[in-house]
Amino acid sequence: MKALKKAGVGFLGCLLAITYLTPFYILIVYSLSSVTDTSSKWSPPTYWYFDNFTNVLGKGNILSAMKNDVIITTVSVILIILVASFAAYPLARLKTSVNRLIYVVIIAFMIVPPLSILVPLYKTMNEIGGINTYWGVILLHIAFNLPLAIFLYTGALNNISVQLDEAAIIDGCNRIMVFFKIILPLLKNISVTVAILAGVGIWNDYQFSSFFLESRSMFTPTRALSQFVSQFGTELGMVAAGCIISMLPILILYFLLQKQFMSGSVAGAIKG
Amino acid sequence: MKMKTFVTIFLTLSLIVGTFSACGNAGNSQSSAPPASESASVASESQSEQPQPAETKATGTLSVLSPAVGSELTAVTEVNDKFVAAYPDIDVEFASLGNDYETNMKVKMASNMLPDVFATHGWAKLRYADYLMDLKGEPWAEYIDPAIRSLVTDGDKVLTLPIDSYRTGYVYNTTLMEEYGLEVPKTLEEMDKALEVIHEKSGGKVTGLHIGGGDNWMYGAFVNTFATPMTASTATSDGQALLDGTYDWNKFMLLPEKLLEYYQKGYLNVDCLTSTFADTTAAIANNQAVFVAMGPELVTGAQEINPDFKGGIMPVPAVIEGDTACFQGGERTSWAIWKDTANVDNAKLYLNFAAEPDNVQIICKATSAPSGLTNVKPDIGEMNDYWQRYASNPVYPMWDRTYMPSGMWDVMSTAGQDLISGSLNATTFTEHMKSEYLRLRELAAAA
Amino acid sequence: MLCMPLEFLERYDAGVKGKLDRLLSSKYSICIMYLPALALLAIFILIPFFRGINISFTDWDGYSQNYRYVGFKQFANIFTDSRVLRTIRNTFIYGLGSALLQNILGFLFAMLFTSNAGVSRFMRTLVYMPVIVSGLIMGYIWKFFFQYSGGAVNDIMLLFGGEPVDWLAKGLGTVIIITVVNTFQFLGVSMVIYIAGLKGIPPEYYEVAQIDGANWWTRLRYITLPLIMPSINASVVMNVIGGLKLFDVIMALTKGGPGYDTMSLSTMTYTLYFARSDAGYSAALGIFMVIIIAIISLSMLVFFRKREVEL
Repeated sequence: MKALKKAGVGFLGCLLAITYLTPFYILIVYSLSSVTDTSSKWSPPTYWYFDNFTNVLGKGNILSAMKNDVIITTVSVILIILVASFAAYPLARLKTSVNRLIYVVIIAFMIVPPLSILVPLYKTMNEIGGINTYWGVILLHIAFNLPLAIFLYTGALNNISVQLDEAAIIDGCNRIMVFFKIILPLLKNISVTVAILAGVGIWNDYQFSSFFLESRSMFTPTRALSQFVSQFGTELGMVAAGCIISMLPILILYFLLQKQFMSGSVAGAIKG
Repeated sequence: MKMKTFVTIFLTLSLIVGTFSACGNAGNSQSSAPPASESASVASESQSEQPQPAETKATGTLSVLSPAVGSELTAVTEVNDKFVAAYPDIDVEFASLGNDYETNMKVKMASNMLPDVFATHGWAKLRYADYLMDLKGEPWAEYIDPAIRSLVTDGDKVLTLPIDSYRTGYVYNTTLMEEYGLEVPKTLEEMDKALEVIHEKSGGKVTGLHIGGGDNWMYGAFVNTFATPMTASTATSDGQALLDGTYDWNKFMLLPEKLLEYYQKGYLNVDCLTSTFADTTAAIANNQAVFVAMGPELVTGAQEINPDFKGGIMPVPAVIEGDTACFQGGERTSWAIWKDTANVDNAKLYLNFAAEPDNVQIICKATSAPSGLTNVKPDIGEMNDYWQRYASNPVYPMWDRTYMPSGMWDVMSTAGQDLISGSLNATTFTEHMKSEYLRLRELAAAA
Repeated sequence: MLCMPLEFLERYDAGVKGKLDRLLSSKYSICIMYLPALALLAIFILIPFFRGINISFTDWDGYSQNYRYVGFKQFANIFTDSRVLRTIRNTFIYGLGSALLQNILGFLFAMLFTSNAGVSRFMRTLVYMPVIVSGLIMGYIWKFFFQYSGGAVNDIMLLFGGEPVDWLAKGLGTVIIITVVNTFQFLGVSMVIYIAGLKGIPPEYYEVAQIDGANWWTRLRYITLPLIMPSINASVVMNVIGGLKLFDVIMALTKGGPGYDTMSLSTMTYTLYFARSDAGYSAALGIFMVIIIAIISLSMLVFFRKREVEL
């Protein structure tokens, strides 16, 4: 009976593995075929045609787009961690009625999709001169990632005993000092979670970068790729190569840190 | 311990303040000119290198926004790069938005924050006029091609620099036309016949009329192309009726009926709902399609894919009996200046530079269109033959921009898709066009 | 910037120091810590939200300087416009369809791949991988399958002598394709949530049940499901909201077309504003979307809370 179950799992596993690998396989075959090669993309390419990769790097502006994305993602994530953990501390420690209200409002912001307030958001960004700048998009990313991050930090802080704070205060720390010396180090795990959840979202972002970064020199990979598709859409090989190059950095990160990625997802979801 | 306390507070506060002041700085540095000493040294260097006029000392910034894609973008970028080389101390922020251009421009108009220099792409008079600086004093203004002068001026106010004088009709594949022994159709009946011949002789393998309708604007382009001889020609008074709102929309049925007929008879490409303009270009370039409702830049684009491609352009066949075939046109590659720009001098420098004959040549070669300035005779090879052959055919202004209220373009584009996908039939298509036309007119009248 | 304050503070006057210290010893002093967050949220979410409500009562075209207030007309339009109604139907298919598929399959995968064996670990890695790929790129990848000319699915159709099909122009069929693509991408999230839930069940429960002679269905019904109810709750709510917000995949595959056949509320809001110059209507639809998402998430929370107690 056990052997049968094992075989069943093995068989299903194989089937699923094939299902999950197929799209990536097809993508790779496309990326290695020249545009004149109309043979079926299910059979492996007969020769390897790497021009697609070199061409898309040249025409598609992908490398400079990646540099932009690295800057935007790194700065945003660091600031999200700081601003959100700062905000969560008083919200978790001082449960006055005002703070409770603030907390509920912040959490309610989680259900506001950026697109639903696109019209006024664009007006605001234009008024503060944030369009086409790193800082404008970074501030937007911070704002839209704050609710979940604050939620996660507040939850974690609720599990850290207040007695720790009090002991430190008796030792002569002031309250903000306590946060830096005692609390922030204890939040390391949740900070990793926040960094991954926010970081993946920001790295992959298409909406903000397509509305607020217009100049080619400011493009992120998704924006560069969509521009490339509208211009060279028939060059399927190059589109595929562009997809692969754009995915590569985050895939590498994923293979190195997959445990953290998955537990991040779990932590991010349990937010009832 | 107390010292540390202070450090902590200060760090906290400086972080909070820093978050905001950092943004302030970034914002300022963007608009501020480079330090004077630095720019002076660069200027002297570049002056010794290339014998440019004395204006090379011009400094400051300039933002330039263009909707160009493909070969037009390459050309516009080339001219821009030349400008940057000639005026190295002007910090030019050049961007092309492609398909997103119009949407972004609308938002910029909403907040009255436009780029210093931008393209009017056929909308100088109807959409952008209120935001444009009068350019009648500029050296190139007297050379504007009389054929399009009325489209780029408002009274005696010159709105934009029309680098090319754009015309659209049907681009066709001359190789295939010869193969099937076809004459250029002059009327709708001849066009129908030609499509039928192509379909029969190729056994359905060659597409008569290619529409990369996944880009829904290709349907908008078809509606524009077909509606011009149908309603806007001088042979009918329907144009006037459309303008004053008395048009009998039942007459419009012909357009969706024809489009549907072409689709059902297999004259369109099978994937006319999902393929894109890039597919259209590839199809005509690789001798798989004959006609595309488009401007001459498609010929250039197709030649980039297949250097042996032979293409021509023809005016849109007449719909009304006894009428002549016609083009639609206006300015395409064009630069205008925002009336509230802080960089007037740099902006005018940019336009004057773009109007120099060498630079007009670069643009016209890329778009294969006639020049918008009479002092430049562009060297555009075989395309010139076509422009000369059809020099006497009328050029009407772009249909949607002239006769339809603002906002109709997307209605036309998506309704075309809906018609093919079966969500609309010819009757509901026409009703939809009519009701949106009335609604948007009312909206425009209120504003 | 970080070293400067140190020196600066060392020279600080002791009197001021004392005052600041006293100020900070108040327990309310830490409230300054949420000011940066509140400022950002106010500028980028709260104020735009209210401005959006304001715009939704106008007929603003999105760019001119003039507009009129039209009361609730834009909201009334939502319920009479057949295109928007189709969009709402699609959005529910995207949201509820994805949630249904993701949770059933996610739960199955979790049951299969909970163990720490190599195969399970490998499968978890693989199934979760699409989650971290951008939705836009995922859309492009699947476009290689479903596009008409040269698409991988049509290659198979041709191989078996069939006619190629224009998969992305099939109306409701294409909506379902997009739902499946979205499921493929985010199945991994449900899976890891369920794995975490399953691992939290003490093995003794099953041992006792086994001794009592409970079959697998009884064990599933009376041990597994009740104990992972919080996971089900979290996963379903998240999938539904994710599906309702769907944007990137649609933009990559169909841009909402042909016509409005595959639009979601997100892409429709975008199209109305940018392509149709109907900013008032777009803003109204945006507000409508927030209301729908709020109602669905709240009612699901209430529903699951009740279930958690009952079971």
